[in-house]
Formats: sequence, structure tokens, C-alpha cells
Amino acid sequence: MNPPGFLSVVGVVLAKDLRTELRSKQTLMTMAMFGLVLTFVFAFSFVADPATNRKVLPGALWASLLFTGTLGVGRTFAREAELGAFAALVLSPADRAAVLLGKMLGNLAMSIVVMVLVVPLLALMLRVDITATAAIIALQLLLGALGFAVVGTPLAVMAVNARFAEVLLPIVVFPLVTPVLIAGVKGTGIALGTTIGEDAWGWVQFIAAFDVAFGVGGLFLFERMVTE
Amino acid sequence: MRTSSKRLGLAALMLAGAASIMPLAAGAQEAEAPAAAAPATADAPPPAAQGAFQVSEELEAMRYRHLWIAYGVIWLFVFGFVWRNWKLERATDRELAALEARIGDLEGAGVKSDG
Amino acid sequence: MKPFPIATALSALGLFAAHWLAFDFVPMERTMGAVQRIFYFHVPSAWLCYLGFLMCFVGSVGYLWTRRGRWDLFALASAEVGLIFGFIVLITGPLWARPAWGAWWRWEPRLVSMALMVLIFCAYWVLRTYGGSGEGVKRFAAILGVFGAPNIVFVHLAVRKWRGTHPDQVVARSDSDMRVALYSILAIMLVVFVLLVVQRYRIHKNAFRVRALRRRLSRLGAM
Repeated sequence: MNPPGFLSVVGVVLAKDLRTELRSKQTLMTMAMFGLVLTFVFAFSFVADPATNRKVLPGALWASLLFTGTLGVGRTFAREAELGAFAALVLSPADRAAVLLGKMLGNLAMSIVVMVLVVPLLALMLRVDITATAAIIALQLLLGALGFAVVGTPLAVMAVNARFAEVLLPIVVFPLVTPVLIAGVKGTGIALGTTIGEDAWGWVQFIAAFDVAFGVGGLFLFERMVTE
Repeated sequence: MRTSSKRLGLAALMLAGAASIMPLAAGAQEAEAPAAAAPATADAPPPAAQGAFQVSEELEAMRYRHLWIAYGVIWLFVFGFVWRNWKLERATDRELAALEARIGDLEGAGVKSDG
Repeated sequence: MKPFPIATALSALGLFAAHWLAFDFVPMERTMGAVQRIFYFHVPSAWLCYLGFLMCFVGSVGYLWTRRGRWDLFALASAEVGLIFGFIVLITGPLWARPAWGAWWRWEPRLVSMALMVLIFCAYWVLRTYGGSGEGVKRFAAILGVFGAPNIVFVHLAVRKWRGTHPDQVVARSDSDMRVALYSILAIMLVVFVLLVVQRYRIHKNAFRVRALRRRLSRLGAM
């Protein structure tokens, strides 16, 4: 349980996942395509006058994060289950919390790549100039994606055991990430000047607190989750 | 014995449900003329003291309607749940007994054929 | 006599008394009128809903640590009964709110966290009902039970930050008769709640035994 061992396991799992993903691009491509389709869906559903577009953008951004994130989280472990690799990981003497952290970071990386694609596209299609507040929105989305990965990853591990896992996962994960969704939509709205509120930083801190609470909780519980 | 007493309990619950309509009706009658003779609490100021608060008939009707619907829903949920549980429990009890009997028979037959 | 039927009969009498308390004993509330009488079942239901989900949390933690089936059954039974009370809260709440506030719904911390909690435990129920009954599903549900409780705290904080605190604390400003009625009805409903949890627990335990016996029977038949 010494720290260097822990971190090296995290690194190994993360590197393995990213390498596999870069080779097959299976999950990343599906997520990106889904994000692309979603931007069109949101654009066709909500596009209106500039003021309305500006109000709609936060919701569209955070909804795309949630939808593509679910796809990514679900896919990672579906693939793991197919290959039986997860069982091997669990049986290995490596610290399981470190394995989970590696997985979380892998999912976070995937979400970041997809959001880098989706955010500018959505802003472009809804014709909202976000360059002035890009930094804070990026920070909010980054912490939000982390919150999603932190809650979604351990649940996705467990969902492998259930029937209808693909359908059950969003049913289970969406209510649990609602605090992130509320905080994200409000925070981004404040950043864009469409929501009344004190400042966007309060919401950033809120999401960060959520990430820490559920991240630490998930890592702490994971040992209990996967051992038979 | 167990199921019959349970049935008794359920009947008692149903009775309580039916009987509860009486205080409900009494409550409705009591407030038939809410503005005129409001049954105020001992320490509450008389209704005239807040004469500015006028309740339209429409709102008053809605209050009673919603009260009835709400309690209807409560009864429906609680008794629906109790009823379903009761039926489910009886069914599982019966199946359990049947299975145990069949297993007993099979094992008994096995022992006999062996011996 | 077993204690269960006696308690059932007593709780039936108790429910009768509860209706007397709610409809005859307490005075008519002056500003909200008759519809305020929903309060005497609505508020205890909300508390029992929270209790059910707290018990589910405890049962889930217990299951993750001990892997004993009884913790899992305890969590499942509590969640189911909590869910029933949650539905009651969510349906009677708007019925009360419409005449009292003029709106069916408000984006207010207590309302939203209750709705989210019910949503989370609906997911829990769907998982338990349609997701299979293997050991892995039980662990999945336990994680959900453990994550669900702190999540509600975050939802509550988020909506409070978003909308500000709820202005009126109904319990605090109600008079003593109303409080007597409220807490008496809470006590009665608590008994009903416990009985329902015990019953659900027993149903699930028996269903589990039925499945085990069926497997044994099919093995005996194959011999």
C-alpha cells in the first residue's frame, strides 16, 4: 500500500487503457460520433434568437457531457468484460483502488477529448461567443467530467453483473450526478451572464467538493465492491 | 391460523379505512362555513382580525377536493401495497410448503428404493 | 399468537386514531384551510421515506462489509417501503401546494432532494426487479444504496445555493395541538412502516428459499 506502488499501478492501468483505445479507437469514435449527433439534435431542438441560444447553451453542453460520458463509461467495461481482462485485474495483487483510479482517469481523458470537440461545435452552431469565458467553462466542464467519471466508473464496473446493463447504467448514474448537472448548468450560466448568481467560482468549488467526496468514497469502497 | 389472523388484521385495516370516512365527513361539515364560524384555536385571534384574507369559493372547493384526492392516494398506496404483500406472502408460503413436501416425498422415495 | 398479527391489528386501530387526529382533533388551519390536513400524513411520510433510505444505506454498508444476505434483504425491504412513502409524499405534496402556494411545484431544496431521492431509489428498485438476482447485482445495488444517501445532501445543498432557503418551517410555527397530532401520527405510521419492512423482508427471504428449493428439486429430479 506504499504510495509509489499505488501511483505506478494507476499509471500502468491508465497507460494500458489509453494505448488500447488509441489502437482500436472504438470507444472514442463512438463517443465522438454520438457527441456530433447530439450537437445537431440540440441545435435543431433549441436554436432560436441569440439571447435564447445563450441561455440554452449551458444546458446543451452539460447534457452532452452526461450523454457521451455514459456511453464512454459503459463501453470501457463492456470491452473489459468481453476480454475477461477485468477479472484478471481484480485477481492480480495490485491495489484495486489504484486500478479504479486508473480507470476513472481513462474515462476522464475520453470525456475531455470528446468535449474538446463538442463544446466549440455547439457554441458555433448556437452562435454563442464563449472565447471570453472559455477558461472558466473549461474548468467547470473538466471538474464536471471528473465528477461523472468518479461516480460512473465504479457503477459501470458493477453494472457488468446485471442484466440490461446498458439501459440500467444511465438510469442509475444520471440521478447520482444531478448535483454536478445543477452546479454545472448554473455555473456556466453565470459565466455566460445568463443566470443570476453571485459568482461562478462558488459552483466550481461545489463541483470540486463533489468530486473529492465521491472520488475518495468510491476508491475507499472499491476494495469491498470487487472482492468476492 | 397465521393466514386467518392476518386476514383479520387486513379486515380491521379495511374497517379503519371505512370508519375514517366518518371523521373526514365530520371535518368537511365542520368547515362548511369557514369564514363565518371558523373553529379557531383557543389562542388564535378571531377570524375577523385578519379580514383582509378572503378565500374565494373556488379555492375553498379546491382545498377540499385536493384533501380528498390526497387521502385517497394515501389509502390507495398503503392498502394496495399491503394487499399485494399479503397476496405475495401467501403465494410464497404456499409454494414453499409445496416444494418442501415434494422434496420430502422424493427423498423419502429415494431412501425406500435404496433400502 | 404471534406478535405480527397483533401488531397489525393495533396498527389498524392506530391508523383509525390517526385519521381522527388529523380530521377532528386538530383545529382548522387559518391561512391554508382544509388542505392543510394533508400535512399530518404528508410530513410523517417524508420522514419515514428518509428513514427508509437511511436504513437502505445502513443495510448496503452492512452488506458490502459482511456479504451476509440478511443485510441485503434489509436494505431492499427498507428501500421498497421507503419508496412507497416517497410516492405518497410526492403525490400529496403538489396537491397541498396547489391551493396553498398557487403552484404545483417549486424548485426548492426539500422538494427537489425528495424527488431526486425517490428517483435514485426507483433506479434501485428497477435494478433489483429487472437486473437479475445474482450476487453481483446485490453488490451493484449496495453501491447505489451507499452513494445515494450522501448524494441527497449534495442535491439539497445545490438547490439551496441555487434558490435560497425555504422560508416557512411549518412544524416550528404550528400550535401545540397540531404538533401533538403530528408526532402521534408519526408514531403510528412508524409502526406501520416497521411492519411493512418486516413483511417485505420475509417475502424476499421466502422467495429466496423457494428459488433454492426449486434448484434442489430439479437436481433431485435429474438423479
